Amino acid sequence: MSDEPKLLESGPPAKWNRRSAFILAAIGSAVGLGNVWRFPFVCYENGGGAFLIPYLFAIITAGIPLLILEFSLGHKMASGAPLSFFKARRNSEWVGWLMVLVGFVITAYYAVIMSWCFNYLFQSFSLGWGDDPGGFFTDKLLHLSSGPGELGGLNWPLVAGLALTWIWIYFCIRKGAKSVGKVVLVTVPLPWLLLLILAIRGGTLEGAGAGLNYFLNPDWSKLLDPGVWLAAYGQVFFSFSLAFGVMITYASFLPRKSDINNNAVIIGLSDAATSFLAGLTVFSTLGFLAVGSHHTVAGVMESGPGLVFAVYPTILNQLPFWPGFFAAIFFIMLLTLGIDSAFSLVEASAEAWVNKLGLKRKPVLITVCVIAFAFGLLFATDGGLWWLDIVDNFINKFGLILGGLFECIVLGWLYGARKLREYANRDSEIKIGRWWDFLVKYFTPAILVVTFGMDLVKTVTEPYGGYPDWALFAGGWGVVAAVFVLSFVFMRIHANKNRAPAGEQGGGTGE
Amino acid sequence: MNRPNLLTALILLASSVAAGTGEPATTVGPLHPESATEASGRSARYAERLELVTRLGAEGADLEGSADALAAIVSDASEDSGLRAAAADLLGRVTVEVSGVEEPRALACALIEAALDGDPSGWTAGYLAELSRRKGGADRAALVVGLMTDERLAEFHQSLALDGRPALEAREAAVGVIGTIEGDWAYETLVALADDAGLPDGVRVAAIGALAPIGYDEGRAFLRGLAREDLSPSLREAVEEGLAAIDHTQNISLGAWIMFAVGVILLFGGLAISITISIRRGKKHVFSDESDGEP
Repeated sequence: MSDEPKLLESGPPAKWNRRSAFILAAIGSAVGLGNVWRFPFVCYENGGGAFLIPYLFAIITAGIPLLILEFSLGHKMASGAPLSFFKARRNSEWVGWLMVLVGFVITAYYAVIMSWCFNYLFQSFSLGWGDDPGGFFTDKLLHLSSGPGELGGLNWPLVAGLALTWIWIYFCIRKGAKSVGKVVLVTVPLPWLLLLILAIRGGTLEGAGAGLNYFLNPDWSKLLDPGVWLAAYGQVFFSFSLAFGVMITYASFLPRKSDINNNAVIIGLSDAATSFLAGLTVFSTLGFLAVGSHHTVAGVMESGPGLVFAVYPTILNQLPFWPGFFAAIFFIMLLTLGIDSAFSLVEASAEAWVNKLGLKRKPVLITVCVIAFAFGLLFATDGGLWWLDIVDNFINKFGLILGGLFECIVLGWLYGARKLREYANRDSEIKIGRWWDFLVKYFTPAILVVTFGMDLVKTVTEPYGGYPDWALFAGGWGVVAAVFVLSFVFMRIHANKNRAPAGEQGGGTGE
Repeated sequence: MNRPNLLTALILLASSVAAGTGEPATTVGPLHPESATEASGRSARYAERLELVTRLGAEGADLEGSADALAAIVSDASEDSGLRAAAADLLGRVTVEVSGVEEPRALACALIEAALDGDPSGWTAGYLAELSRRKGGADRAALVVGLMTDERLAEFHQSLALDGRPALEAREAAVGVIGTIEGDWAYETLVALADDAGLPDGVRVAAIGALAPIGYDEGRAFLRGLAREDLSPSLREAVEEGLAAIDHTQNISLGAWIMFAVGVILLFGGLAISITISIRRGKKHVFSDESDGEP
């Protein structure tokens, strides 16, 4: 095979040195900023405590099954996402590239958000955001322009934070599974510990009960609303690092005998438990803010960056003792939550190119980091937040959802769900039955089609965020289209030179 | 539907039209056909105002600098109510869409005028409710009310206290809107209104209802103090309901406790079981995998 020497040039990929390293790395990838700033808000908006029922249902029927799907593929093919799809079905390599490219785009702006965190961390001990954290965020830190048309210049503190983030990412993954396995020993338990400290602190504040009541008080009538169930599936899908190629790549580093199914359960439940803990932390502290300022909890609630960069600093300002200390803890927690997710996406990209070109890992990794850094500079300008918002909305709604849909179609229908199920069961303590085939082939694709259809109709009929059409075309539809086009372009590069359907750990070509 | 609510609904309809979700451009015509048909017979001032409102209501019209003219229409009690409604909607848009303080100030003044006018059409409640519904509108509504407190609070309170006016419901709604604005100022204003024995009961009841969701411990103490006074049955009932609402807001409900337990047991319990299984299996071969980390 013409490609085999090339693949050997880069040497066999490093494997996880212990099972816990894989589990921690996968948990680290799944658990990110969204667990803190998205889940609590989604939960509150969709029935409070009652939302836990559709959420758990979505974990069982979509989250964990898709994790098993990706782990099985990655482990069986022992490759990054594009090569795994190639091995599964020759013409489906583009699905793997689509996933990797979506992850790459997300990393580019995710690193900018981490740059914001760095800047806030440096301000923490002096509470440098002052009495108006919201104003500090938009005016002093971001120098936010009037709209996407006014890009302004580079924001140097953000660029510095961005550079720091990328250097950090590079050193975390420079030796692949070997270095990641060591890094996650710190970056996964640490944010959990810090979150726990903040939860305990929040729970002891005046007004915590009011906040927790908002979060957990069940509104059972919401269970009759199909939108709530779709929101639960959306939360699970966005939160589990699915369809980025990350889980496929990480599973490819697993030793031959690995318990795929139980790993998926542990990782899925860990992500959900982190979200739940984050919800307790966020709402108990929001209750404190609401009571102190005579607002309802809903009145002070925000989701996304507004929560962590405007509302939370306001709360930190009002803490009765050690506000600077708790502020530092909060932003270190965000950074350590974010870094695993960021480097896992980069790892998926780098591994894909190492597989594709057969090059050594180091130059590929440096190239990926530099290109992503350069792309991220767009989001480190005065108008960067507008572009970040547009790109984030479109790439998640269309790139990610479609990636997941095509993944289910290729693996469930074309490759065969049964083969992957049997492979997953081979060394797993918990065996999955034929119901899994149904979920992968019919149920999850149906959910994704409905979600995609609703998002598409909404986006076409209501221009997102009131942005001008040209901005939505350039940063939204344009980026999504570029990701799709590049997926096919990358598939064509050296397509005949370094690809072969052989090389599965489980044997067989999959054709 | 009573009159103020009907007109508030018309304002909202006008706003949807002006926002481009309904008939474009001619906001006044579809709302009040009689105004359009009678327009030729009206005064030149009316025609000018109608032209202004129609022009500003067109999609993409530049609203900047139009606040004073619109406020003049809104404040003119003798003007056609349909035109006032359309102008009010545009003024709300000016306040939301145009940056700066002058436009909210103009709206605030118009609100005061309308309130002193007995607020026969529910302008006060309508404007503020509309503002608070729009993107970023809560801040603007708070700014408008803040401007009232700076400059014309006494007049505003006076308008609420006026008895015998036909707009009691509108004033009650205005008090409710203050509650939706939230914050320290809203709370203190509502406490002052609820505590003012000179105000009609309806206004005080509305103030108590509005302060309960944002009152917490302070609100509870205030209402308990109020309960010791000689109150009318309707006020006493409002105080009891307010206390119950505060308890409901502040204390974790049984349902919330149950869902907390469900979350902890299923998520953390499930995690513990999965990890236990993996450790048990690890003793067999996984943690001492024969591949020793190599394929």
